Parts: sequence; structure tokens; C-alpha cells
Amino acid sequence: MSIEVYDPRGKRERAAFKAAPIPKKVELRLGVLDNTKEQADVLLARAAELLQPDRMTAVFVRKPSFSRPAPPEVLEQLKMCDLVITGLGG
Amino acid sequence: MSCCMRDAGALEALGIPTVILVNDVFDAIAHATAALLDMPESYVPEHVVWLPHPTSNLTRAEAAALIDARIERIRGALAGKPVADVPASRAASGDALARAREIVEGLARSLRADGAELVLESFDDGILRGRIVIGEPSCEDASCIMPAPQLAKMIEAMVRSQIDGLRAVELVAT
Repeated sequence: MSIEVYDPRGKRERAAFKAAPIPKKVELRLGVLDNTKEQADVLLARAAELLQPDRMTAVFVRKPSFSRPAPPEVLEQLKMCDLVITGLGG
Repeated sequence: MSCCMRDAGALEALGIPTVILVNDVFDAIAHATAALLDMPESYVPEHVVWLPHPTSNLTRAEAAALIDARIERIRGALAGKPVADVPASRAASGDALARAREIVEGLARSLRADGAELVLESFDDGILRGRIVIGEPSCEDASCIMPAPQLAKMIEAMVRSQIDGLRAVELVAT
């Protein structure tokens, strides 16, 4: 009598990480992703303000919770951006 | 903080270069999350700009000053011309050898209880070198405690995320 044994180990498949190339455009849309921790908005807004002379127009997006990754609808809002700045730690 | 790293990973996958402002107290978490996401070791130094913790109790003026002092790092990282940044917590802990000694002190105490002494002697060209002193002639290669190569691997796992530029740990038994 033969016994069929299943392998309980799962597989994790993920595309290899590759950092995005830096855009060569002159006018840039800078996504500012606020993780909702205290002062994150203030610090990120200051950075965006200082980057304005670099021809970076800021698009502010706030995610629902710092304890979870940004949901698809938040990432969708950032898709139009050329660069993103995010943080912070509290 | 690990979620900020995950967000960066998701945005990079969408083709959007991302720079992350991170409080230096989250140094280990940022590195560990980057490793979990299969980011190269260069990702954190090139894409993270460290801020001194805490930031939540700053006045608006203090918060602005904090960013003002780091805007060139932020600008460089966004332009793909990063100025390698080291969290203040690492810089404050002195050189890499001193930092490694601090990290393995708990392990060294355990080894001392078994009559052995762990001595980290140098950090050159990315190699952290040390000795495990047994003082027992019959205990070749420290195998009565733990074989030196295995102990070296354990030390490497402990210090890897905390020591910039670490390539290997080499340990000899004497």
C-alpha cells in the first residue's frame, strides 16, 4: 500500500527588487506620502517647500494608518508622480 | 517604520524613486525590512535620510530646522546622487569595532560562563577579526564550546545590520 505525502512547505514568489531609475525630466511631480505619525506632515511639508525651487511640484497624499502599508488607492494617487518622499518614525 | 520601507518598495516597483525620512531609532528595523524585501544593501544608505529621534515633540521651528539641515541629503537622494548617511545612533556608538564589541557583549558573557573568552581585535577592509580563547589544549577549534566558524557566523548575523561595510567575520580559536 502506498501513502501519498504532501509537502507542507509554501512557496514565496516575488519579482526581484529593482530600484526605479531617476527621471530625467526638468519639471517633476513630487509625491509626499504622509504616514500619519505625529509631525510627519510638518517635516515632509517643509522638505517639499525647500524642494520647490528645484521645479518640484508637490502632491500631498496621506495614508490611512502608519501601521499598514499604503493601500492600492493611495498608491494609485501617487502613480502620477515622478518621485516620492515619505516617512516618518514618531 | 517597516511600513514606510514597504511603501518605498511598492513605489519603486511602480517605477517611482522614493526617499524615506526615518528616525534613527528605527535603524535596525529599516535594514531588516529592506533585507526582507530583497533590496540591495545599498538601498538604505542611498534612499534613507536619518532624523534624530524623537521628532513628535518638536516645535514647528525645530522641525523646520531639522529638515533644513538635511535638505541637501534629501535633494541628493532624490536626484540619484546620494550622500551616504549614517544614523546618529551608529555614529555616536564610535567606531565599528567598538560597536561590534557592544553588540556581542551578551554572547561573550555566555562564553565566559563556559570558561572561554571572546576577543574582537580588529575591523579592517570590511573584515571583523577576533579570537575565541579557550585555554583548554584538548579543545581544538573551540569545538567543546562551539566551532569557531559557527561562532563567527553567529557573530556575523548579530552585527551585520549594525556595522556598515561588513563583509565577513573571521574568528580563530587559541
